[in-house]
Amino acid sequence: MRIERELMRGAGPIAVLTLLSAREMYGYELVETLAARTEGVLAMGQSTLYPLLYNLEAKGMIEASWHEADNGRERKYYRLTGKGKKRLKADTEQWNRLAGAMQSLGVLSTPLLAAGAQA
Amino acid sequence: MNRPDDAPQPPSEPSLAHLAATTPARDWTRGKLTGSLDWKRVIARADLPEPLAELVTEVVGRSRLWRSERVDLAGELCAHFADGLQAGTETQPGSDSRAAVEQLVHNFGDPKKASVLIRRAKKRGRHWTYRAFVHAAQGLGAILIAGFFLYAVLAWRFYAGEPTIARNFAAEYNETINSIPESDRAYDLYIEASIALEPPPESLLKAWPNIAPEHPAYQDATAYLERSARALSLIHEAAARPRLGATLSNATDPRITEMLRERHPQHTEQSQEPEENPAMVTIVLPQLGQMRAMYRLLEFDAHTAARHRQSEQVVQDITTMLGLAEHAAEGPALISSLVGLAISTGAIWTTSQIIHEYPDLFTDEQLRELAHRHAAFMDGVPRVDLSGERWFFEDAVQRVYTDDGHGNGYITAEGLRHLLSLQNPAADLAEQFGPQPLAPLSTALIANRADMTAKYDQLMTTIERNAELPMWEYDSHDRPNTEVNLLSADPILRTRYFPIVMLMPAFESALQTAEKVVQHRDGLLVGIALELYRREHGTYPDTLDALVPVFLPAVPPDRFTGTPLNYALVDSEPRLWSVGADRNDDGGVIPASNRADVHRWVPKDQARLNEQSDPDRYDGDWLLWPILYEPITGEDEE
Repeated sequence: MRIERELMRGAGPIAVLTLLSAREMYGYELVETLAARTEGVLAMGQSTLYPLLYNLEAKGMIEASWHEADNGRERKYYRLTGKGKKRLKADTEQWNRLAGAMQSLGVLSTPLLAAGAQA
Repeated sequence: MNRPDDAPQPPSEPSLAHLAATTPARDWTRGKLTGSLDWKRVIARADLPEPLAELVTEVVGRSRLWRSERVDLAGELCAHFADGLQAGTETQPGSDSRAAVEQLVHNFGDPKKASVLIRRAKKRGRHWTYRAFVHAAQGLGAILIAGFFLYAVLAWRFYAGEPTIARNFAAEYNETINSIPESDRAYDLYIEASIALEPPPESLLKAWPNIAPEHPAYQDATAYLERSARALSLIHEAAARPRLGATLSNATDPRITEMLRERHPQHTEQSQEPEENPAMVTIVLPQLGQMRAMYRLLEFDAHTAARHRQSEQVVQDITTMLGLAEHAAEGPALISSLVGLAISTGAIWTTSQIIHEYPDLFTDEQLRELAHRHAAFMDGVPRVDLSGERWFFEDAVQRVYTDDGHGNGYITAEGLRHLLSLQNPAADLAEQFGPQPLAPLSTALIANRADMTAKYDQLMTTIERNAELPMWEYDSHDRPNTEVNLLSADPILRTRYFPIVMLMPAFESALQTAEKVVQHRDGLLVGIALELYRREHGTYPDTLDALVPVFLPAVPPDRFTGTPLNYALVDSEPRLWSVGADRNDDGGVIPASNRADVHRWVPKDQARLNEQSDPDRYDGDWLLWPILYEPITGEDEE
């Protein structure tokens, strides 16, 4: 199941920041990990991912650098900046409050990730 | 890597020119032709299957980013697809590579949309100085476009607008003049007198009319006076009539033009046709110059008659001078009032000088008659007439602005040309407002009709109020020209109210002129009263109060202070004075310099500074009686 565009616009950045909070990752890896970890719910085309990454980079949330990978090819890796960490923390709190509010209204019968997993 | 059959060929070596064109300046300075800005080479080197290479080329190409950004983007997308191909191979060994490529192309999404979003995001990441420059350029562009449209609107208004001339001020004035009975009008007699009055001979020019009998050319003067007998008779007759009765026209009276042409062959001015509705500022008043010449003839005749003890002739000359002054002042122009006041001042001085020179010339009755005639000048209140000034301005406004029927309008090209031609008939818009294309901006810079009229009305109301004030109250009121001077000094206001700054005369000096005439006249009336007192009592009084009420209704005020005029007997001779511009009583002593400037009112602070900086010129009193007659003897003419 794909998420509506407007919802994705809000969820995409925090999803990417969350993934990058664990370790630095490159573009294809982010696409694949998002699709796998959310079982396709937050799968996004590359035409969406790369502009999203460049936007986060322009805002100073992430930074990029070219490294040589194990297979000998050059890849561009992204990692979270201090500003990105603060933003992630703030966004996470907001998402939790939003999820709580939705749950209290009965929109969410189960926690958000579990609902996503069921879908 | 296994390449599909249709994969692009490995990149060929680029030409030297291509390398040079795709090498950044940094590498150039190091002497290396790296070609590192060649993003197509980056794609080619990635050795991707053709559909993927084309996809990356399309996205990068459409992004229209800087070359360095495109190189980075191409590298990242190539790495992305290489990772995708590798992952497909690893997870599904033996699968169809063409299907994997198609899947990657499909997963990527719309390349057009991707390139737009990528371009937008990448631009956000550029340095702030670049973004600031772009925003500034965009802002400037917007301003230029808005400015162009504004200019177009202004230019259309400026060149298409036409002033509406609704009133004929000259005709309105002439209608009142034409309603005066012919027998009451003096104008034609003055014209006749002008034609009869030759100019004084050249030998008199420097001394005329204050020429002393000792002067070598005095005989020429008396001969000239004899030749002017008919003119003098006509002047007396004219001045005795109640009104001048001159109509307004932009054309000089053809009789005067003809006379000037006969007397001065170099005078080539042709009689021009009078316009039906002439601009008020183009009105000509040739009679004023002629009337000044007539006054000079009367002045000489009065002194000559006094010398011959012909008191009746003197009284008649002085009476005619005052009639001439009243007639000169008749008319809507400020200059008419000023010429009238100047002639009246001459009449006052002539009277004073003759009484001082020949104390027993006049009978008591004649002295009283002279006093009454001077006191009655301009109904006893010599003032400049400002009523015509509003006409002049309103007429200019209707010739410069459009009229929306509700008191508003905007300035037009035709109107501006008219206005500038008044200042300088040869001027054109380009000289005054820079290049012609900028002239329409004047519609935005110069106040609209309603604003301009309101500002003029406000200024004139202040000036008219000042015109009613005696000089001693000037210090406690705003100066009449203060705001006009402020408009002139501020470049923005000067442009905004350009017609006012250009057309409004220096009223302060004009208003003072009237006050000076009052002071001179009061000095004369006190002088005549003193003379009458002397005749009755044998001596002059100790104080001016002794003159009241038999010889004088009241002691007149000093126009600088409002307190009674100062008086003293010096060597048994009377001396009457105003404290003058410095407001200090110096005992009737005039300043040492012959450039004394004690009549011109200036604010108290300025007067104090003047007195300290140049006491010879400013420290002293304004002597009102006696007024000495000091004709030119010719000894100092060389």
